[in-house]
Amino acid sequence: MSTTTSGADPRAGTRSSALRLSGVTKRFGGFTANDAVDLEVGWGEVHALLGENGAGKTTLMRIVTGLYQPDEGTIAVDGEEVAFRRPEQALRAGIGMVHQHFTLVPTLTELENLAMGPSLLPLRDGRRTALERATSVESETGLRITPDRRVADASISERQRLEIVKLLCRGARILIFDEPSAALTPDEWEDLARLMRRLADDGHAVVLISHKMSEVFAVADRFTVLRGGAVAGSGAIAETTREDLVEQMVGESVEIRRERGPVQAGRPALAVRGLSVLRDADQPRGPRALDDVGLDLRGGEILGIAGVAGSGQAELVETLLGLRIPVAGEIEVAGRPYVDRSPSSFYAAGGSLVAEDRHHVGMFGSMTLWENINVRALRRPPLVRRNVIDPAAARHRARDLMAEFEVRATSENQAMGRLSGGNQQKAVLARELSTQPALVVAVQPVRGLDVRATEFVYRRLLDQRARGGAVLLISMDLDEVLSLSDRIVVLAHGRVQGVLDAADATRARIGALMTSREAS
Amino acid sequence: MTPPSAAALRALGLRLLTQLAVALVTLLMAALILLAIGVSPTVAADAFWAGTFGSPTNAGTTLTQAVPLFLVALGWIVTDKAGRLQVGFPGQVVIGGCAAAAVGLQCENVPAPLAVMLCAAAGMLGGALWAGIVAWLWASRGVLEIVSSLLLNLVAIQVLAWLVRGPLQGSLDQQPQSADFPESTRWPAFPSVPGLTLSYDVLLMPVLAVGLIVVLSRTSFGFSLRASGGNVTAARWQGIDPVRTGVRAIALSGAFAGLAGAALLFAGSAPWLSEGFEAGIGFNGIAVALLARNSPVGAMFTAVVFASLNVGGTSLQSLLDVPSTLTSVLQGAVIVLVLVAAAVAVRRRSTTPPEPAPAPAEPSGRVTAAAGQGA
Amino acid sequence: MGIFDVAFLVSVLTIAAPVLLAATGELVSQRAGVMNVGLEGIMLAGAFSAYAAMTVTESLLIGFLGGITGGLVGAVLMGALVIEAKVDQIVAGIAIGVLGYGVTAFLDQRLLPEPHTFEPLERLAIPGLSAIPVLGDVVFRQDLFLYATLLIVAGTAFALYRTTWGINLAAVGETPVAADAAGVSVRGVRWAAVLVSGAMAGAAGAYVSVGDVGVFREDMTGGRGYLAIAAVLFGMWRLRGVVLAVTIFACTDAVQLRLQSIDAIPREVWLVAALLLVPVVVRALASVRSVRGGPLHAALRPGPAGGVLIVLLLAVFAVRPPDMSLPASLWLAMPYVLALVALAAAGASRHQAPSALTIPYVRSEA
Repeated sequence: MSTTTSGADPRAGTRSSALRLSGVTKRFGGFTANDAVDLEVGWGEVHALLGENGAGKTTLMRIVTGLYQPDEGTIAVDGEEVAFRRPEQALRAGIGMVHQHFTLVPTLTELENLAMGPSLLPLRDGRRTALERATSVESETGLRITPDRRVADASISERQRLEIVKLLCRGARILIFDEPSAALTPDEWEDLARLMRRLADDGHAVVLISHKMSEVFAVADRFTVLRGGAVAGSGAIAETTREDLVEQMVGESVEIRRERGPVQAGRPALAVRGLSVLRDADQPRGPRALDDVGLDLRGGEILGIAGVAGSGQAELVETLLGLRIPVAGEIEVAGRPYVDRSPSSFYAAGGSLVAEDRHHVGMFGSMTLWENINVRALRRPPLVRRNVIDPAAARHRARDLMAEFEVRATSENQAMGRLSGGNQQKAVLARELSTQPALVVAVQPVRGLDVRATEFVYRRLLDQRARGGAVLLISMDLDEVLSLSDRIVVLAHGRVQGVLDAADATRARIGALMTSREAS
Repeated sequence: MTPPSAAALRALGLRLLTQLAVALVTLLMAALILLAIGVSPTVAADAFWAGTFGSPTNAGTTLTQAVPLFLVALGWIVTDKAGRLQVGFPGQVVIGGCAAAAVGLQCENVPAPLAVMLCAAAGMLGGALWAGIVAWLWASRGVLEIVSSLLLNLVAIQVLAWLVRGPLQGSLDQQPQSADFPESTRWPAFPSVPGLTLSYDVLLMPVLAVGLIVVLSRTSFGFSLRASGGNVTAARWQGIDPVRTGVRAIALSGAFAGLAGAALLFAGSAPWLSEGFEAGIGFNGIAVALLARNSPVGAMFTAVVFASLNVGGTSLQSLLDVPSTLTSVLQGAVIVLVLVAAAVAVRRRSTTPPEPAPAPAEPSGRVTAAAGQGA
Repeated sequence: MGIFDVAFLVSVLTIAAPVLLAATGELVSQRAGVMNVGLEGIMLAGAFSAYAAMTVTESLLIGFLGGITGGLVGAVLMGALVIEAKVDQIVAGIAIGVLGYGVTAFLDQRLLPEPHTFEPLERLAIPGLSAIPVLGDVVFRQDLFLYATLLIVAGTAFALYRTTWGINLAAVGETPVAADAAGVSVRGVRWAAVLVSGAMAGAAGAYVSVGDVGVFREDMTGGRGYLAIAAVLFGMWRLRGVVLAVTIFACTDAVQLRLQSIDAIPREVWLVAALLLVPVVVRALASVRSVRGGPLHAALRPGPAGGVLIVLLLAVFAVRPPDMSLPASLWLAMPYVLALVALAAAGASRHQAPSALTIPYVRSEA
């Protein structure tokens, strides 16, 4: 595995092939994740890889980075055929990937993260060489790191930068960015876009995985669209239109805003005043995750909270559940003061939650479907009397809800963990919406779901609104917020930067609010 | 009840098969070791059988010895289902036994049924309180159960050493042991078995096994317990208090171990408190549960297997001069084999993932014990 | 100097050395994410194989090499179970504990029924340095094992904090995905760490049997392995903390040995106990204070208030020792009780544990 450069000089700007995939197919059991995919990326080019969730982008990139081996097809780097068995080999061939979840060690310093790596002399201190390399990367690209800062203390965009420096230090010349803007403000995205262009102009090959049209049109030269694991189209960005790309991705044009009745403002569902929460509970004088946040939400209304990841959304949810203790602020749920905060009192007050990280906080993979659907119902009558469970009644209730929420499973006795992601999310919805809650908090409710499941979730949330319930929709996906919400609160750096009515909300206005920081 | 599906039956069959394989490998190892030390395995097998089930008297002893092992195994199963890893059973057996002995020695003039009840209750209370230290350290100080319970085992041994030399010392020749327990506190035995070796407490095995299954599957306490064990964070987010559940589970498991301590003393052949009465029950009980794949019903049978290893090991020593520590070797080997078999089975099952890897339950729940509690 | 004389300090070092060595190995292993609860069994394996090797060769060097080999055998089993088979680390550790006890006791009974006794390690006076008053007697007239332990601890400090290997180790224990992405073999690093801990625990076991007393008895490590694990936790996964923790445990143990021959507990013990508790109480006060209210408010909270009272009581006893003695067996339990108290006091800082501790690494989750 000593392939790096041979053949044409990459800096000649002739756009010779940097990465070429021909007929790559990958199957998992009966499921074909990639079906005869062809992909060609040239040196000096930013190539957009587009596709919906589940279209096969991730699998394809895992093949390119050596995590998976293709069942059929070939990969060539710089014109030479390669077969990666381990990620190290891809790395050595010059392929580096900036993951959505950074592969950094938070407890180490930035420099130590660069120094980490296989070393022949095990007891050598690699920090000095790492620093030299980082300096030379800085002089080439302008990317600067703070060597002695712990990664845990760095912001998201700083971590992303470190990740890029790390790959460049290792000699990566084909850089793959997986949804890099998910946690960035529009400003930070601009910087990143400039960097991608610069890297490409310096002769690197850049692959941008995204489903956001604005980003693709801002930086990419060429594109490839995946749909259902196969290539749905490819070409030059200059010769296509947004509508064209969306159609290739989805198969049909999607309407952005949904039809629905006018807001019938009902009883108050959630009121938050002056809520301030510490980022780290052990540091009373440290930064605040939420600062003087106020929200007002009534029945029959969907309130969207827009903001990049890490703007305080997670802390808001945890505070509502009583898992975080705020330093100041009042909360009312369903019109009553909500003082004694805990998960059980949140649910008792009429709240319910579709959590973002389903696997981690929302379900019990090893327990059965009926137990998962009835988690809270199993702790009060009629399913439980004098602490004794009535399993027949619980199963019956689960079966009814499975039918209502279209949960597909062999039976209600199936383990939750064996269900597909979409069915798990439907089961969670069944649990959370079956109690006729006054307030549903939904965080990224369609993350990782396919188009059909997504549509189902949206319909259910709109049903909740239609029957007079309230929905607090927290999402990092602006399109989702725009298409569902009646009003939109823009959250940035833990503060409410503005509240917009759905009628006058646009991506541009929300983006402007996200960046207008520190008014005080 | 729904009839078990073909898949469930196949899974059960596979489980039994792996258990059988583990047993066979262990037997093979035993045979090889015996050959290596120059004892014919067939002769040894005869001696083993004679010592364990060869006569009603010996069979009674074997079954009676299985009870404490089984009780400890139930303790392990409870905490395992709750996702807590307390391994303080040796300490809880010892302290439960001490508490039962302390009460029993005062029961000279108490009528027999009441005295037996009192001793059993004292044993359970002692074990639960000793385990309560583990639970408290975990719940309020975030100390790993595994570490605190291991250290408390060592403390308990010294407490026992002190008690039999100090407050509870009662033998006439100043031996480090207590006086004989009053007759009224001895647990009754089946009169039909010669030598009265089969104590009535074997009846506890099926009763408690079924009882525990019912509690785990049919009560809201059992449900909270399994939910906390399945995914601590999800349990907390669903309004279950995993800390309270964990504390109760640890205390309950300590009570089982404490009862085992009482059973060792009052149903055993040596009716007095002495150093070393625990005899490795605490850790072997864990092995019993592991071998039964944490099934209470299975634990009844694996407890008998382990008890026969103990009893048979003693008879091999007396008849053929085989070191009785051979038992410990085999018991350790059984745990390792069971672990490996389980790991292989898991790997088999997960070769065809339909979805991108089902998330592992609670990445660091075991280490950062009670993180997320308010200040 | 009362009971705290030179002989006392020497016995502290002798008690501390094997625990420190085992704890250092455990620290390496835990920083790589493997909690080796089977340390006690591995130490026993080391103790017995050293004894067996000595019986055959009568050479201390071969004895220690035998001990290290025994430790490595235990570590290989541990590694195979937790790194390869990905078995639950803690259950695997228990298995190795049971197995270590069983196998060593069985082999001892079977192969070496006649107890052998050997001359333990000689004490070496380091020329020049040993002439320093007190310090020279305590530190520079020790046996080779102690010097070797100090060297190994220093070497471990260097390796952990000054080399790429140490960075990789921390990365594997903290974020194995990141280490893997950087081309570091998670498996390789964990294996190395487990083997290092096995070798160190084996050598420590060898010291317990042939190095210190020159015999082997069933279960003779008597909980030192568990103490070493407690030291790693109490030391908050830092080498400095581990050294401090081991020192405290060893002091208690040494006091215990001393007190067995004394009727009443002398005032020094009360004084030292009070002094030892002061930092714990101060820390508890500080942590309470940082949440809300002033120092007085903090001192009135039940936990810290109890601590303050105990310190005051101990101080009173130090001035006027009560006529009180503790039975030997309860003193024997002291290091463990102290370890528990220490862990409870350090409870708040538990978040410093390596994030991937006890979690097997499966690549496809990346």
